[in-house]
Amino acid sequence: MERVLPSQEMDQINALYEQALNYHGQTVYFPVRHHSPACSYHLQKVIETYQPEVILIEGPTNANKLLPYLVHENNQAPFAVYYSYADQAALLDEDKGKYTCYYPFLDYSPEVVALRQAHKLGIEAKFIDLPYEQILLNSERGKGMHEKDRKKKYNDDYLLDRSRFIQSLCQKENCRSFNELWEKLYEIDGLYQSTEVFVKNMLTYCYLSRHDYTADMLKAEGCSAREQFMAQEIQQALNQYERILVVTGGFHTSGLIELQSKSLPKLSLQKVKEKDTGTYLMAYTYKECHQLNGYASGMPYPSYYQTVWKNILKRTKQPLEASVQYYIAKFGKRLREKEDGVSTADSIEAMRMAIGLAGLRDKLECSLYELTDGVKSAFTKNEHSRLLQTLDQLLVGDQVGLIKETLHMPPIVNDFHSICKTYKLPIQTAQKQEKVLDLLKTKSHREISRFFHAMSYLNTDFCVKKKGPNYVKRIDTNLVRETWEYRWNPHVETELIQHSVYGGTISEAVSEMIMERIKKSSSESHVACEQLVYAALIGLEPLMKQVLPTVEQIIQQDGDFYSLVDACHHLHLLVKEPYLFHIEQSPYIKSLLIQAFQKAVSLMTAVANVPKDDENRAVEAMKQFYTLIIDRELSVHTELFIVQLKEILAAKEQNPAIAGAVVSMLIGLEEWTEEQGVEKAMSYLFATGEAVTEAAAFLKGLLTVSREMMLSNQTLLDGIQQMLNDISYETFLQVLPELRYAFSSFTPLEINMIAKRVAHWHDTKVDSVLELPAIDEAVIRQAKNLDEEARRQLLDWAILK
Amino acid sequence: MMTNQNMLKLPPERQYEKELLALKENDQGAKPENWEMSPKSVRTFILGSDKPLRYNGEEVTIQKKFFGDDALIERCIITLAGNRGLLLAGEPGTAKTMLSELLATAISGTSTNTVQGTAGTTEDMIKYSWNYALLLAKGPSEEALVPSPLYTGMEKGRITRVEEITRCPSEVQDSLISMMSDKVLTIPELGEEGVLFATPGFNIIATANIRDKGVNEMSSALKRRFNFEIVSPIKELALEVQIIEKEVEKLIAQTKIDVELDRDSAHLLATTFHELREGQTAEGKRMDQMEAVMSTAEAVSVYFQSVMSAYYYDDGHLTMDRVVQNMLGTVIKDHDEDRKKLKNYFSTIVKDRSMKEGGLWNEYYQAKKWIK
Repeated sequence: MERVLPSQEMDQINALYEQALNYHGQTVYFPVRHHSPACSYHLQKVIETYQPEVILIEGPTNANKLLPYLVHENNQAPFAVYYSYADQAALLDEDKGKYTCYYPFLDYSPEVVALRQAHKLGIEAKFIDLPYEQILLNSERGKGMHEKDRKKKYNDDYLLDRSRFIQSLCQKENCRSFNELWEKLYEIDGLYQSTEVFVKNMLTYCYLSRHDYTADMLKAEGCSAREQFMAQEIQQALNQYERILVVTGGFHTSGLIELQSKSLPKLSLQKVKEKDTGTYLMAYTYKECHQLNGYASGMPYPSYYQTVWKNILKRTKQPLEASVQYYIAKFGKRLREKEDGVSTADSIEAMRMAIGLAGLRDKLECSLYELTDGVKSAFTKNEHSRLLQTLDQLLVGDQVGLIKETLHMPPIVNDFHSICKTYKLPIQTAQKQEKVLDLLKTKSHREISRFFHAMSYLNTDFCVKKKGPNYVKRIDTNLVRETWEYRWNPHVETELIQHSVYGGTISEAVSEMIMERIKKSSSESHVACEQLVYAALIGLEPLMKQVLPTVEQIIQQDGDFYSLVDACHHLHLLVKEPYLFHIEQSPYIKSLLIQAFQKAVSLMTAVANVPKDDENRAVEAMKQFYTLIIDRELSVHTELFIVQLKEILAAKEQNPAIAGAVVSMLIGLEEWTEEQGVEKAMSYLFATGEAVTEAAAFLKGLLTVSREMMLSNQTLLDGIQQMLNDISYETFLQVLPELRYAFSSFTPLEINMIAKRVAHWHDTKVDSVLELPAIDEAVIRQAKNLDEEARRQLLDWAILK
Repeated sequence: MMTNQNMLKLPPERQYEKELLALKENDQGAKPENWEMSPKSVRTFILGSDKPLRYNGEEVTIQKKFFGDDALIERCIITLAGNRGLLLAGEPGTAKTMLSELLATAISGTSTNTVQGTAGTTEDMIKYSWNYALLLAKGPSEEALVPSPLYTGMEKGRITRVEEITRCPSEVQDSLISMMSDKVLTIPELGEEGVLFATPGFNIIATANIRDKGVNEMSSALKRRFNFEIVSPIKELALEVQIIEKEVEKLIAQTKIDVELDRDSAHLLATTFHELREGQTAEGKRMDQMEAVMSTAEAVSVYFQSVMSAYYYDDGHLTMDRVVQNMLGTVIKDHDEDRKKLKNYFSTIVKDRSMKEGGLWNEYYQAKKWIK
């Protein structure tokens, strides 16, 4: 790295180093990156050498009361400290919003390593950063951690990345990303360096990252206040202890050293009521720790680095290469479980590639990037994606932490109780309670409804909706009231505790789950859009905004007509009637609706020749679609829709029911005249031979979409009459079920009208037909006996059980 | 020997002669046996370097010759230093052949030790054949044997290229298996003498087209002997536009007709090809991907043909009608599904743009009428 720096800067870094790692001084500063095994490795050594009396660690002081639990042997990483602050006193702004953040820990997080070693050696340890709420109060809105509606992490790594020199350094070192660069220079090289050299390199890097920051930027991010607070804590410790070890994110180390000898004015902090803040220890997952969307979350691939860390602790000779070998073997095994024809030879080749690539890339050992490249070359024989996904899953890992000992219940349980209290929902009783909610009129009712929906989304068995609209399944959507039954039982809390990994509040947990389900729905857009409706029901508008790009991708990948039609309906609901959910009209959702619609329309021709078994579903889907097109939102796209309808009719082979539906729609859209439609119908009705059986299916399609033609046009009914006259009794029986289906869409009044006309042809009256006994009682009895006899014989032959 | 001037296309060993010499002179890395240069220098040869090298008192800059994934090049090099062959697969027009030539040149000093795979390739083209006059006169002997490029590669420890391996009949492809795993070629006609052991440095770079219809699927036994690398088309629209313009200009210069390149139409065409190939529009909308090959090379050909027809039939005025007609004739051909997809593309994306941007896009949308 020295190559890119002029000599004056190196002098400054050397001076910084002299002040940081001075084993004879009263303080030693150790810079870290979160979740870095190499940092942890050297930090352990520093603790052994320096033998501090106290270890001061960067981290909000609210968590100090949780320290015994962070090192408790019954608790297993990954876990996180969860901070919350409710701005009840409107100290931040008028919104009185709620703010939360997580501080995740892994076994190899330097902070955990320091805490555990301190515990083992009987050294005092504590967090020294500003309390979480004070960090918020001392930074500008939208900067640093002060951001609403996002699951925030207490973490500074994003500060490390932004600087300009990273890019040139990546280029120089032939690295494709910041993470690869970091791994090469620190995780790999770092293990072969003395602690002194390692710390110096860390400081060089941190010095440079901080270089682009102005005092104003530091202030806006809240860094100035935090560093001043930490420096004061350190100065206080100076009066008490002889040897102090300060462990902070590398970005702050140089700032703290600078403040070390200065006399600092007392930082004035606003008073915050204790009840507005919360700090909890909770279980966490590897998946959460691994966030590829930026550098903000520390190092990626926790499972991989956990293995590296274990190898370091075991003093394995080449800890990274050994981890690569372990994962290649594990990967091969995983593939064989899925019956992919992979052999040990492939694993050997992948390992050889990894080692060879490390040599070519001037790395002392192969690691993560050589592992993926080796697997890419040796295992994949076509497109990379699927196998690499499997590898990715292995490297991220699916471990979940365990918290057996802690101070308070997980925050989500408290959240549940406080919501029940707010809305005065009695839960100290074993009696079932009922609540009728008027969704459109009363604000509190709407909020309770959202809470109930969230609780049932979490499967907590707390409440059941007895009556009311079901927007997801599109049933009873005309209702405006909901009736819920609810009752507290221990199961509710157990379920909530299980969900505590997803978040500290109920809405956070639901948000995470919805997000996960959307991501998992891969190319099934109807699933993703259904989740959007749930999000709307639960009132998670910010989440909706956040996931829309993902939903867009899913829509784009979806190639299933039915799924897209369903997705269109969910989206249409959100576009057309946002007031039902009390959410804003969103142009983005509308654009998604149009996209899904266009995509579905372009796939529509595929239903032209659906098999008989699928025709009802296809006709239904097309009918739903047609109702959407009639709606004005989508009317601009009618042209494409009509082109596709005509394409279906032009297909060589076509399903008669579909053809019927298409004709009906073309007439409805005024593209065809009614006469043209009748003509087409006649071609089915007056068909000869086998083809006449298709007439009933055609009518079914035609009438399912629109039944006006039958009522307004005498010719069609005449045609049916003619057909019925012409066909044999056997053929009649054959077409009867479908004819019945076709006529089922009429209302009783309409049936009566049609019946009158039919009666007229037969010189009879509707009433006299109705008065006829439908069937003779004797015939029924005989049939029943016959049935019984057949049943008895089948039982005798043991065909029926 | 032909001089550089009268060759239609220079092989890389001639084209980059100076770069190769400079790299060799400055090479300090360890070389695998029989390689002309170290893996690091091979990398530099293909991916270029900002720092010029000194050779014979002058400064030689190593150009970047392959644009795309740098890690892919590294994997290719390390694969070739090992036991398995390298198979470059990908869509047509993704510079697979160029890459294989560059690798062979850097590693073995020559790119011409090549088997050209076709449906008519036979086993003796892969292994060896005989000079029948000598065979009759002297009987089977080393003198009468005509070595194949692969034979030469094994004998001299060179990289051998097999172009379009999947076009060769499967049984011919399979004759590679034992040569690749045992590194031995037996010549039964020569009796006990007839065993050729591969010299270190020998390896195979094969190229295969994953899109062409009618190719012969590789056996899994042969697949196992290769590391696969998928070479992807250019992801960046701007870069593709640039390449198309450059190539069409070259073609026009060759035909010596007097027309000016219409950059807007070139851009429009590049956009269409890029979008239909990637299945995603410039605005990020996804759509159906075409079955047909929508490579940069095809776009160049459509554009060039449109320019030619404009020159000979329309007084040099390039119309969008011509472009769409040529697109149908050259690319879509008789593929019914693709025709529908193209029609869809026009009714949604092109229509949108014709409304928003007007001008050329509008003219383009009007030409939709040719897509029946």
